[in-house]
Amino acid sequence: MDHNYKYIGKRIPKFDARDKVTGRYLCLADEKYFDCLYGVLLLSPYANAKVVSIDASAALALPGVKVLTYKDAPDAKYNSGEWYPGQNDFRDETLLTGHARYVGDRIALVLAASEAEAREALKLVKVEYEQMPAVVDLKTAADNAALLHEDGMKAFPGKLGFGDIDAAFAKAAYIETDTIYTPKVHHAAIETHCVLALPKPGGVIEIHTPSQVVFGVQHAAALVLPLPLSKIHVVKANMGGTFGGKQESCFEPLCAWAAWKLRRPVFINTNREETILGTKTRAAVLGTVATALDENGFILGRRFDITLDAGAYLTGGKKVMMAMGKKASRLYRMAAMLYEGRTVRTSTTPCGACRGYGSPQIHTITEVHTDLLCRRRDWDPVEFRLKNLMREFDDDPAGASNIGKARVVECLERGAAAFGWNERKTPVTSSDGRFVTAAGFACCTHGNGYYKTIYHDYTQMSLRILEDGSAILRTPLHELGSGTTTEMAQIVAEVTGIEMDKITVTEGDTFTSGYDTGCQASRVIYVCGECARLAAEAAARKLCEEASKLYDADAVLADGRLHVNGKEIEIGEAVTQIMLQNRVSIDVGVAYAPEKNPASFAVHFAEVRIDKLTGLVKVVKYLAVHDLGQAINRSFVEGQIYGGVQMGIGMALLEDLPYDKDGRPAVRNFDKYHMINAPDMPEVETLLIEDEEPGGPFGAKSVGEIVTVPVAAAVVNAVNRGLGTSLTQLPLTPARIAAAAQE
Amino acid sequence: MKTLSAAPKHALVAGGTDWVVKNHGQVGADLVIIDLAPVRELYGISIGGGTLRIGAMETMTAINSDENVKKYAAALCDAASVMGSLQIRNRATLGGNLANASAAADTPSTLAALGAHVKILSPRGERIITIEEALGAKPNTSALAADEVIAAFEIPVAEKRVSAFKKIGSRSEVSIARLNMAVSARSEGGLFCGARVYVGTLGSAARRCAAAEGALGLPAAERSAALREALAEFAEKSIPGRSTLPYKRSAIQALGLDVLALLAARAAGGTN
Repeated sequence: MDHNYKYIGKRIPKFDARDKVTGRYLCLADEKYFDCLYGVLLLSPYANAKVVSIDASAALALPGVKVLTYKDAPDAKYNSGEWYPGQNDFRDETLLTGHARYVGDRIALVLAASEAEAREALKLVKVEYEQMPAVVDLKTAADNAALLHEDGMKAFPGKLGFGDIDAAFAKAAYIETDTIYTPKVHHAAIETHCVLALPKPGGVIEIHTPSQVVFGVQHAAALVLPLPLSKIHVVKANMGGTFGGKQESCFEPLCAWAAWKLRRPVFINTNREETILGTKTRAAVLGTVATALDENGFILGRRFDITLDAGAYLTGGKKVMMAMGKKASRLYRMAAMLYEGRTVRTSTTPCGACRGYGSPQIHTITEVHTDLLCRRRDWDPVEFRLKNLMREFDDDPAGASNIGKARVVECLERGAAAFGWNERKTPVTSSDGRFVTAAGFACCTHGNGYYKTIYHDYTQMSLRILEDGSAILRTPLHELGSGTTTEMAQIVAEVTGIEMDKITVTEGDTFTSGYDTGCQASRVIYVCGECARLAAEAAARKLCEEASKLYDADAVLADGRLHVNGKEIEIGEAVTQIMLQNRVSIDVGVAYAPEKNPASFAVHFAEVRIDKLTGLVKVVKYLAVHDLGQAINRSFVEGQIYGGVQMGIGMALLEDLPYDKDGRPAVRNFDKYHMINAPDMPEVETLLIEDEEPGGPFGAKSVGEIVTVPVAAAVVNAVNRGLGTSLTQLPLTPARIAAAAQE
Repeated sequence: MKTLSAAPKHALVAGGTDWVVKNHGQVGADLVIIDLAPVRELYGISIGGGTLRIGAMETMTAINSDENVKKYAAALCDAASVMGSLQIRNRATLGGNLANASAAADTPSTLAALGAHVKILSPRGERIITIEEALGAKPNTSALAADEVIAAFEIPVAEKRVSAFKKIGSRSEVSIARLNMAVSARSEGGLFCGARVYVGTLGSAARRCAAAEGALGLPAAERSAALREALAEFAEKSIPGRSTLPYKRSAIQALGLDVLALLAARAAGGTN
């Protein structure tokens, strides 16, 4: 739609782009802190082991060294995946532990005047362990739960569904079933995990962290410190990427406790190996999906049996498993669904949030299955999907929010045409039989916040227009590197006409900003962006009201100026006079809780070239089609898509954190953890369907997570189509592909 | 050499791209680190007397952009241009790559295929050995004594000799080899005579495959099939029972075909 926007949908560089490329955007680890203790972690080398003895005497003999072990730490349990009080997730994690439950579990914190000295001291701490059997097999993890945890919980089951599933399967002409495994994946943000905690006057602990949810960190710290929430000041720090890895608390509660106990600033830093082993991962999932179909190829119902690997502690593992189920009823129409899942704990690095929060897993499972069932039934996969996809304003039969102005059919139809699906759908084999070029695609959906889920969704901002006509939008948001703060400024600029370079957008701070649910759940544009728009409108309204009083005539704001009695007045001039004469500051607060949570949709198409002998797959052509309502910043949307595709190809072909039977990780660093790099990235084409979603700012809805959701399935479907295989164990490593190609 | 004799516990560091990563945070106070970078005698790429001489401290970038290397040891150019990332190639040295002796190293198999000799200096004088002799009996070890320094490589050059190198990793660039292969041969009347075929990563940085050398001598029509068979068998003999064998058995055939294609293109194009 042509709105003649000045800022919305434009390619405006990020506020911090210049600083980032010139090395002036400093992250926590780039700075030095006064009178600070630098902490490094003593992480367990064993997957399941009790500490028999710990001797820190040699380390403590070094000047300035302090060692805090599990014996010093409170044994209060918390769940690092909770983000607000009252969430009541099962709590099984402690700050430090004498029972290590994975390689990377936290035994002690070693502190010194510098990180180098702390690392020297760390080597001198002697720990004797009694090893116990590891729990690594997903299928038997529930039965072996007692080996790992004393809390008596075998697994964390969950169930949802609708309709008469037995009747759907009873009347099915065909029942198709597949079992698919999606791997445990490292987030691989460029900045490894770190956190700074400072004791402040008045019994306050101030935590600086590159977090996605400052209020979640405040909550987690309050569970382990004898302090009220009001004494825990969490400040969002500059961030070098997250992808969900910094959504849950990792070392923040420990750092806060250490600073509180020692009455000294404490900075905990980790290297890549410690971040890979000791933080969070995308959860591995083993899922079976059965689809009941009528003879015309309509879906009657789907049954799911899902086992999700939480790793050693539950964290957000149950929520990820349930989030998967909630996506399953929002892509295809069906009369009945039964989703049964369980989250199990294994002696591996805990899972947590990771871009898509279960959505890549569930859509990989359903979309790989959908292609395989079409092949077995000899149905065209495009036609099959067009027949079954949700239509606009369909209700979610599982009871969640209406799916809104769904444009998934358009995504598939226009995408298939733009990609040349009909010309590419038949695989081509090279004359020597070694190389196959083949195409695949996948559809998916993702949410826009928490409305109509069991979690609250709420945000609050204030906007002040200053005496020189500039503006500050105070937000509880977190700039993750995706351009959030710039986009909020674009929204304010579009509404008020104030120029972009005169707008500052602040980030989350539990003392000075209003409450926000967190930069998660793909809610930032749809929910927080709408709040920013409402704040801008309220500020503009207030400005006009006050100006009308001041000038005793109707004042109208247009093109960044006030128009009064045919005269144009600069905003700054008006605000200055309003403050002096009306004794009012143009400062408005807006709280916003959404009443909608529509679906975003995407369809991705991939063409791959497979070497049957080496098993290497190169993605040679890629098209990402997105139903996103309205792009706020076209460059950011494309950037999100490129990055999402890069992550998704990795999940399909390369990225995995495997463990041996003793729970030893085979991968600890980037020497073995390989991601798709620039030379292997295809040219990614994008096609944006912008049809204005009701409830979003200027019609915008989410895109940052969904961009990685359909990628793995599209790539796997291309490989299976090319080789005639039914590969369902991800990643499709060269060895797996070469073996399958030779069968 | 005096420094070497005097320092009881020392480490010789060339480009440091492997050494620094391996030893980061592990260096004891008593270790003497000897930086080879200022030793001018360890540099230089020159040709004369039928020999291409490459100083041990020459970097991958210097090697892959050198005209004589391109002309007389194309395989080394191949290997030096795909090793690590550009940043690594700007620092990593030919001598360091051999001394580090990783089974997945890219240049030892290439140097071996090219028939290179290694000139080694120590307080006891100079010795010249082959690449295979310089590599230790066990994977990831070199046969060099602690006080020995690799000074240079000497590669015999001959007209009509062509060479090629390829590797397979998880990615097309910035990738550690799962398999690599280097071949040099005389191109005569459509045949590849006197071939030297070395494979890296099958338990050693450079393992010779005689059967593949034989296969390369066959007429073009029979060559590919024979080469594939020879390499498959070679993989089976090199890493019997290893979990990676089924994959390597398949991939090594692809690698052989790719190296052969590059070799044939070079023979046809007249570059060595």
